[in-house]
Amino acid sequence: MSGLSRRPVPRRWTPGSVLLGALLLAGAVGPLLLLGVWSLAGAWFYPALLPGEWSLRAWASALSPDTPLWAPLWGSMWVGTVTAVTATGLALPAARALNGWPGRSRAWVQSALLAPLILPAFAGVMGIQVVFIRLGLADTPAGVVAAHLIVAVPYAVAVLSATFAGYDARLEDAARTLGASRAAVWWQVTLPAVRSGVLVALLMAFLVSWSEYLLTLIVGGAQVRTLPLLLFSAVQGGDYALSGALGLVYLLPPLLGFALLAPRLRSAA
Amino acid sequence: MTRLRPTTSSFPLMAPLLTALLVTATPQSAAQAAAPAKPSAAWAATERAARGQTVNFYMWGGSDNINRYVDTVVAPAARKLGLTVRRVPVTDTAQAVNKVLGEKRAGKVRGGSVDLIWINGENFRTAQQAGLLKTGWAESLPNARYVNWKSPAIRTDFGFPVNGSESPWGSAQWQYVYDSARVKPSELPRSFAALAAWAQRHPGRFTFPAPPNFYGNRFLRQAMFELGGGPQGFAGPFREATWQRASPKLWSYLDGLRPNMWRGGRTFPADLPQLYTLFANGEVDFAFVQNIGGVAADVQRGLLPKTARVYLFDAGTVSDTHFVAIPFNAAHAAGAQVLANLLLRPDLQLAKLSGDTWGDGLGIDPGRVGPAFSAQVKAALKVGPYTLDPALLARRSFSDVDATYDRRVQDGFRAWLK
Repeated sequence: MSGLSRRPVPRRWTPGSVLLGALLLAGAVGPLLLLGVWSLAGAWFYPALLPGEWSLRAWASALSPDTPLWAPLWGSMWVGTVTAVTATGLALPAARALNGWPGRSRAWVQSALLAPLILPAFAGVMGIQVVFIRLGLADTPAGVVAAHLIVAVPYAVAVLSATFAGYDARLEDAARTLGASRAAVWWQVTLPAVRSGVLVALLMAFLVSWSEYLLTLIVGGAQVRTLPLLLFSAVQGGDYALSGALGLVYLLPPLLGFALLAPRLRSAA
Repeated sequence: MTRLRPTTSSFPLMAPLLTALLVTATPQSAAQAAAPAKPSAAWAATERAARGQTVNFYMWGGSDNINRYVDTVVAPAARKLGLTVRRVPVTDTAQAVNKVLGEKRAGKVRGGSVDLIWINGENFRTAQQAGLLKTGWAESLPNARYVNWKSPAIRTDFGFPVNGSESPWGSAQWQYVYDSARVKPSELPRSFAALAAWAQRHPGRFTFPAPPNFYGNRFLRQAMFELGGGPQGFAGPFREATWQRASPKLWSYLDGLRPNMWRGGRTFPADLPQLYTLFANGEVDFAFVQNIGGVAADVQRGLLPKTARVYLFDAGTVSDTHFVAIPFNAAHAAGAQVLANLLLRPDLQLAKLSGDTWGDGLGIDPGRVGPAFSAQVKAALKVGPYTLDPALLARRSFSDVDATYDRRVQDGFRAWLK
């Protein structure tokens, strides 16, 4: 991911690369197709290869005006976006600072930063709820973002630490010698060098927030409704058709985000 | 964690239903129905306070039918009363109970985030014992006059006194599901002994959700009743001697059944939806259902094949009631009471009964509503291939027992598995 060594990659189509590409494509698109078929299945039982009956029930239910989908969609979108930007903002200086630290202490700090991911989810959630109620954060949108940050920040730090591992801090010294201010160094040297890492960290943190269920439910209650609240109960209830329809709705925004991001990642690599 | 899906229904509940269906209403119930309800001043004040409130209704959200019913029948009716229903789907009712528990621990005694919980059984007991529920409100709801509060299935929930802390919503009764394309009605096992014999002839074709799943617990408890000489012996408070006598028979029954179970009894489905998936795709030949409407709603939704049928064991099956409860610190307690009252309204109860929507049993006693209502109940049920005659259900039903047996079965099953 380093922006320094750039070597042109020869592009050649061999039977192997075509086959690999086709397999990768099938692996990515196949499950989506399956979700689509499920969402339209009226009744589909083994050993039938295709649904015996087709039905719009799941879509009618998912898109019913009685339970507007836009509310949880919007909830997931803004919580995810705010969480991603905040988590990356917090992780950037942490990862940059860790880059200059000696080995032993860096490992300790890094472990501490990743610790929230190791805790059993339910135990953590109950404690978080009590603390958040005392802080007045429970059942507020800010509380939900704060709760998501607990799990999103470690991922962002992990991604950015890897990025900074290949970063040469002497570039900053060089820029300073040439008369750049600290702010200018940050914006014009550091940030551009780790740009693709920042984008990946944003995406990672967004996805963590996008898929969070228990924290949203316990901390956010009914105040902040997100897509997983809807999706998880449909999946747990064994309604494959509805899960298929909601699953597609759930997948679309991250896929779009990734499609927008992917070309930028390549040009930065 | 127990699966929180309230389950339900009941013999004492169904008995009046039977009376109503066959005899039409008694003069006494007709008189009750004729007397128009006169709302008290206190209730009028509750209704005024509820106006404009948004009630956060936490309920198991795994069934599209049930969610639809709340969104398209209950919510519009509530809107007419100036009330907004915000359905909060949970995958396990224990999540809602834990949320209230967390609030209590943090000292949040007012403005709680949960206004109404769909609950019964062990979750109710847990919540009640932890002092998480508002008490003494349910019997004073205006529509509580339709409820048979004398029925043991409503006075107690898994043997635990209800004390007006929860208001009935519906009723259910355990039924067995089979696929008529695969099993002939003449071959159906109609007792636990016959089931074990059937499994021996058809190895790998039967399983049940593993406890602590609700359905697994209830299946094993009913096996214990049969092996222990019938449910009557287990009525009343938990007795250690009864448990010590009956439980070894249960574990040895399971020892015999296990090798003939699906995947040799080495693994079990985790919950009812997983069992339905196995059943619908032909991996096993039996499933269970608790809706009074049988499997009508699930067949219509495409979750089960059209050849699915319901039947009962000869000795009968468990029936019970499921309820709604209001947390002690609910921010919108007035709105929650108005909603609980609305859930008992006869037209809403009737809409829920139909297999086209949910197929859930009544929480009210039709005899207390009137003869016309009893006729509507019969019409709504549409007895047929997917739905058993309610009179038959009522004849073959018994109440569940003290929840301590439930916990012992769960713990015992875990030990037995090893």
